[in-house]
Amino acid sequence: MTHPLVARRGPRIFLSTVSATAIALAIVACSAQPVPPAERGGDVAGVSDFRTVAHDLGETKVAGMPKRVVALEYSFVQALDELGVTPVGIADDDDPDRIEQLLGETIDYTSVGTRLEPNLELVSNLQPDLIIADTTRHAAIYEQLSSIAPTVVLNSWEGTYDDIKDSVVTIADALGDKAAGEQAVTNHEARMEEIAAEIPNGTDGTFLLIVANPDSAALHTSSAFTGSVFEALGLTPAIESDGEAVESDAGLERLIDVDPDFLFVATDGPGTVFEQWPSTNAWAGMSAVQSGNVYEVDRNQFSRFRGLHTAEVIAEDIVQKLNGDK
Amino acid sequence: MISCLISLAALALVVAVSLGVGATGIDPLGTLRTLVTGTPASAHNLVVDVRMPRVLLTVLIGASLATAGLLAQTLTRNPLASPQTFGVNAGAAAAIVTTIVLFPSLGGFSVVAAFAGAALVGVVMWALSAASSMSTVSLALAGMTLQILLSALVQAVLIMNNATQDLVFWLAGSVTGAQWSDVTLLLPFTLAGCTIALIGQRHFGLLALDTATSKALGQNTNQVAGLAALVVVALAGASVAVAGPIGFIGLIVPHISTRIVGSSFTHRLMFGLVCGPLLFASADVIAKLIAFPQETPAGIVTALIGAPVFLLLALRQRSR
Repeated sequence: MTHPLVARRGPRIFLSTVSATAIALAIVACSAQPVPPAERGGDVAGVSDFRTVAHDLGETKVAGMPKRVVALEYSFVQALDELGVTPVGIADDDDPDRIEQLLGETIDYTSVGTRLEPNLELVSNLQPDLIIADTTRHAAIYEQLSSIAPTVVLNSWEGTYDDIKDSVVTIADALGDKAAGEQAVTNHEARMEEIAAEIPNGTDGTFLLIVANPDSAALHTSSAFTGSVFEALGLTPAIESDGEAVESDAGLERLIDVDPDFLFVATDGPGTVFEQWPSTNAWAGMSAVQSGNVYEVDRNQFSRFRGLHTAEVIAEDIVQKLNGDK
Repeated sequence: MISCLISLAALALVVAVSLGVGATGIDPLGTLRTLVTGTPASAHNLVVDVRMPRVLLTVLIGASLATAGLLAQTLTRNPLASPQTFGVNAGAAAAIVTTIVLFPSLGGFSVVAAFAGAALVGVVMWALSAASSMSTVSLALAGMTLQILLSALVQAVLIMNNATQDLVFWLAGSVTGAQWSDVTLLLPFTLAGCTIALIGQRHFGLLALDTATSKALGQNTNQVAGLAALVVVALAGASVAVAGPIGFIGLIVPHISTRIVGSSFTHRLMFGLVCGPLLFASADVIAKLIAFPQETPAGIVTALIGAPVFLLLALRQRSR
């Protein structure tokens, strides 16, 4: 079966593969030199005044009142903002507009790349004294981050509303003022109660947030952030789940199967299934469509940001839509 | 002939099962009832709007990929050839993700971009195949090189840009979001491609012989090879555009055909037009059921079925 040409060219191809691999390895070796330990943070030997902050990947000792903080998720940026600290570095997915939308103002910070793949060299250059990272996305680089600065790892990506509230207190503790975090959560809970009181009487039924993608949708369960915000407002999420926060790659049939009474569709813009599905009769038969309770919402607010202020924005948006509709 | 009839019956059965399985729990009997009576309206709408385009799409994709795979293997005289080996799948995928990064205003998923990417790779491959200095084996190697390069590009874009991560299921190969518009997009390409393959079967079949022999038989080898490559691009590119890069169907169906109907190009082509849809429609039924009621990309199922089947075929071929 072997073609004579393959046999003849074999060694040459083999050699070129070997040399290409060697070059690649050399490049990797050059770029992967150990990051020198940061001058401050990380090692707190000699400093007697430090706190031990417990987080998802263990305990981290933090000294003093950190001011140069790097945040690797949007919810951490919002928590820091609420606690009066402007992060020096943010994994902002190279999209500064999102940070402006998140905080409602333009702040001065350095982008350290994407949340999925933050650039450690940029993080290191900022000489931070505290890094806040995400459990799901950054567990693999925890050691490297810790060699740059004390790193606290919290669940944002798959975090529920309660996780986010807890993380505000933990971040406040790491910043040296735990009471400020507890106060922020208390104030926030009071505001949420005010908003919840505006929900029209007799609002009954199940609530579902979906993120519309180009070829399918992601359904957010009660374990997702917005799902647990529904619960906090006394509303019923359409999908109860103890574990999985998001059901990905769902088709229209799965959505019809869930058949929520109130449907919120989060989009970034055009080009999603939300432009195709509504033209079908199957869509038209859903409860939420029949009762006129389908709402398009901003994906950043409903799915990406996940902060205390975001919860208020979401809650206000829901209340406004429920009231405007009745 | 009998094997063809058995496969056709099996295909009809799988299509029926696929129409009768889904998250809402409307079973095959209920599906039949609602199709005949039109009631209840909700079930009828679901079957017609959601399940029908999906099963039709799997049939069209199965036929397209099987034909594209057979042509690619005959053209390159390489039993490992398929639309992937031509780099066509990767070309379409790379075009999609690049479009999303460079022109976000176009609104995400662009079918036109997928097809353009596949066609671009196809043109490069056609140009290479038309150059007389390229042997068929070099052509296959060139295709694989392109495929590796384009896959690396897709990976790079995925890592650098979070927006493209909405496409991971499409990149794994999925028909979850099948629409009638996808069917109408793919149908002309499948019909045209398979018809050309059927009409030109005698010429394409000669490609399996070495160049000297087919030239001696009076064939313009380069023209026929170029046409075969274009048909592969049209079939595979359109399939990728609607369902993502689905692997293994194009690779294993020609081999299964050889085992069942022998080595005649015409017989393999006809049998593949039944076997490809049968295989992919089955894969999609399994994809629906693995994590019911959640979906699994069908492309993952074809890889799970295809890889061991291909190994088995390869082993048995060697032991003979």
